Amino acid sequence: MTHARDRMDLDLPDFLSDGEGIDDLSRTQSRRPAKVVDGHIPSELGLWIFILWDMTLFALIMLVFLWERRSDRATFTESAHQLIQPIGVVNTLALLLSSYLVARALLAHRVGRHLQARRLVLGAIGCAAVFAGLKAIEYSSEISGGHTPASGMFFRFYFILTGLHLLHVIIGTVLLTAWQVTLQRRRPWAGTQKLAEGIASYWHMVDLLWVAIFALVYLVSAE
Amino acid sequence: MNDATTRRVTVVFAGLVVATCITWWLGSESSLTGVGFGPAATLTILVAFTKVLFIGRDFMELRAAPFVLRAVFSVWVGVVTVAAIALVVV
Amino acid sequence: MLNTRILTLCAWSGPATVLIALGGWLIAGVLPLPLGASSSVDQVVNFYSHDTRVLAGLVISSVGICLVFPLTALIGVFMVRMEGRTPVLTFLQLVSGAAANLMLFLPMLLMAFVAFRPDRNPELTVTLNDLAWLLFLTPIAPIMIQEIAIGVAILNDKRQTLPRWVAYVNFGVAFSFVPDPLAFFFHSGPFAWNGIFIFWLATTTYAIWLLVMGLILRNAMQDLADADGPSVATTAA
Repeated sequence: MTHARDRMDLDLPDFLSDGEGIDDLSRTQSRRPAKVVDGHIPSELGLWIFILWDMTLFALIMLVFLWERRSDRATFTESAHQLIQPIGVVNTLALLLSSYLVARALLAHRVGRHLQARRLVLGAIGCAAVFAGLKAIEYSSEISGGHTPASGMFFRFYFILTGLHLLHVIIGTVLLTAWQVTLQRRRPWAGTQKLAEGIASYWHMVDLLWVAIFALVYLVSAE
Repeated sequence: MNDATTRRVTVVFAGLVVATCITWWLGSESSLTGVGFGPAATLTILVAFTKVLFIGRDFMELRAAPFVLRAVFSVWVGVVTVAAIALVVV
Repeated sequence: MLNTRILTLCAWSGPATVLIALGGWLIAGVLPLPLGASSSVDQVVNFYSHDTRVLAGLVISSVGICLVFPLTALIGVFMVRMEGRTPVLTFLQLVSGAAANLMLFLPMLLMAFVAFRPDRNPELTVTLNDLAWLLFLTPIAPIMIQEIAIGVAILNDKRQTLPRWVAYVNFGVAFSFVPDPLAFFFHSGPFAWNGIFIFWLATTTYAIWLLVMGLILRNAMQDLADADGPSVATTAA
């Protein structure tokens, strides 16, 4: 091993050396001792930095939305009434259902019921498809009704919030599909735990973000 | 353990669905029931963020997470709830 | 120069970029309140009329922003260690990082270019100012690709050369750039180029990225030096 180390100061980078160096697995031992914590962090700590950050960004946009609303409540209320609330409700229920199915899928995956987990994840993906389809209908209805992101503050925030959220739904669906694939391969839980829990947590975040958006943009604005 | 957890998750889901319907009803019928905007909006926001708490606690499995993570999540939700209510009602 | 000293300097170039680039902006007057898309022609012309101060500040900023090149290279060194035989993400990071750094460098030069002739036709001044600002904030792809490459490499690394949470910080910072193309669509408000969710968000998260990457790599270098022990000292001498 020192043989490769001696060559570090020469021209060749390690990955071009003859089989030694980088691939040396004797340094596989992680030098960071596992911290003993009370309780189990779903997936891993780093993911929660990301999730909390993602939630914070959305929260900031929503709070700025509410701030802007204060200077023009009448127009906001009138604009909010242009939204098709039933679609919003169905979308909320669809995402809640998908989140439920994902939670059940994680439980199934954990005990090795791969087939059941696969079906549940597929169900969640189906709910996501319903959400996206209804969103498309909603967007085209708004736009053909003359309401675009340029039609004032309310619709600017409506399209940006729901658009950014839709991006998350799409990314989440891709992640769910990836989880599906690992389920198909029947990999043992220990190897896929971080991934599965991570994808599930991300999807729940997508769900809870929509709950907040629905409440503030569809309901409170129109009250 | 799995069965009890499954039951709890199902109950939470049912609760979330009911809460959604309640807030929708509240939003659309508030003028009829005579509930003022302030209370209606506050209640809608409170219910919504309670739903967020439950999604975190039971779906995201934060119940079993270390105290610090659970606390950070809950405080986060609390702060945003208060800010939202303040911006809407005050 | 000893190899380790070069590596250390590269690590410190992360925080240095933040200090010098922001310092230059402060001198130029870009901070605390940058010109907005809805600034009047007079306001824009007035800004560039303080030409000496603006030029000095922008020259400092343009040098400062280029200090991210050494950091990019150091990240590459670590990614090669993580990836091994086929360092495709390493190459991707180098290439997209170089492009991203250039896209930050060029607008600084453009603004200096505007300040070169303050008595230019005001319409041209406004046009060039628009160009500089939009060029600065809207191209999100190179930097997002760079940071996603870093994140994926860290998560795939079985030896945990760098702490895994750094990958998620990279993903989070990349995500914070997503609203930036909205600057094309709005001339005022929180989504205009000087809006809170565009300029302020991106500047803050990028500064955090520079600090985190610089400090984390500095620590990781010490970890590796400790693990290598005396053999490094003898070969380096």
